[in-house]
Amino acid sequence: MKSFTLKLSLCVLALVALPVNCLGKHKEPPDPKFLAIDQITIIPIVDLRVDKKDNINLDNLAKTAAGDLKQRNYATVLSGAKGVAGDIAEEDLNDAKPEWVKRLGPAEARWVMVIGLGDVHSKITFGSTGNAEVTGFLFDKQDGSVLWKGTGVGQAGQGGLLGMAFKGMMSEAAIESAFMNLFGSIPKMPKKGK
Amino acid sequence: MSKPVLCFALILLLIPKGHSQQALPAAASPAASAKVVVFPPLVSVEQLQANARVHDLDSASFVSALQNAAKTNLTTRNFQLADSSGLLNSPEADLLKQLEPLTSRLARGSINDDAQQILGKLAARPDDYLLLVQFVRVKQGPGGSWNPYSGAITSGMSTTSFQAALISTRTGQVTWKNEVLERSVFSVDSPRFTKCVEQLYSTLAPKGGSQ
Repeated sequence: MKSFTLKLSLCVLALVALPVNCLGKHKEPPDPKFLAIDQITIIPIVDLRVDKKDNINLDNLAKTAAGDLKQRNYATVLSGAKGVAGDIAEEDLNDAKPEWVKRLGPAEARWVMVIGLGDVHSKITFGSTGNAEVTGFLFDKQDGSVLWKGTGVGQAGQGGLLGMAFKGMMSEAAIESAFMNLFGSIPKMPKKGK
Repeated sequence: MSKPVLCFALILLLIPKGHSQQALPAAASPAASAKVVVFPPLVSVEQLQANARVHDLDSASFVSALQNAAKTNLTTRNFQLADSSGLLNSPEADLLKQLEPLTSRLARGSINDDAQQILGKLAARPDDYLLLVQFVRVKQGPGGSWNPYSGAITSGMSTTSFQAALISTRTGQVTWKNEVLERSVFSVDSPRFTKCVEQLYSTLAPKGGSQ
């Protein structure tokens, strides 16, 4: 009887604790700074690679980034305007000064995302593998601040003859995985209308 | 062997097999009288993600090995090194110090507005120098893997990149630059370090000579 009561109390406790825990997770409000975002302007991808042997279509990468951000409920727009003179260097992004941030992207854009392609590499072993590294920065041009920054790395590969045959797809698969990891760290917005 | 085949073989032999990715043309050879100032090399060790395979690297040993390698490579190519103790008391010392935070950019041969301003002030001085700037960046990433059930494999993501540039204070121009990327992490005692440094300086023409 004692054991039955103990089991029953544990079940009740579990049933009460579970929804409370779940509720707690979902009710966590996103950062108000992110809630204010109405549209993110993605400027052309910055190629920061030392090894540029793999031919990568940077325009397609920007589209991939826009798609990933859409899945996290952000409205995005692709822009061809960098806004700043010359090439954007990694040092510019890491030590971004407000005056520099305010010149990024089109004049009317407020939230600007800069994505840097750090590395892409594919190789044949007994199979084939691909690696990719991307970094992202979300700037608020109103005050010239960095709202978010992250790094995503992606690895892909398949062993055996089948893997060797798919070598050409490994870079792409690694980049997709890197983007997924990168945007995994940006807060997910509630769906519009909720 | 027929004549066209012989000609083709000769052409192939004459094509230089340099490893450099960024070597500048021989026309931009360094100024004849300038002494070289070897900047303190910048070594950056980064972790790409939390589960990166971390190697115990000693940045200080990298710095001293790079400095020695630079001096050896420059002197064997007939470059004259500036006397560092004399330079400390020179009017240029303060300006050179201001360039140090820009090492990672300069080593890529990228001269931004800040660097251009400082180089402009150096150009107005009577002494003419060549600045040797070196940057080594170690990125430690996740290692390789093999899943025996799915057959999925991955390669390690760690890399070490070496970048160096020679900049003339007279013209503010990059007279030589090169970079080498090795897809692994190693210590200065490793033969791979020696190989990378050799490759880095392989495109630097001897002073007064052509590439």
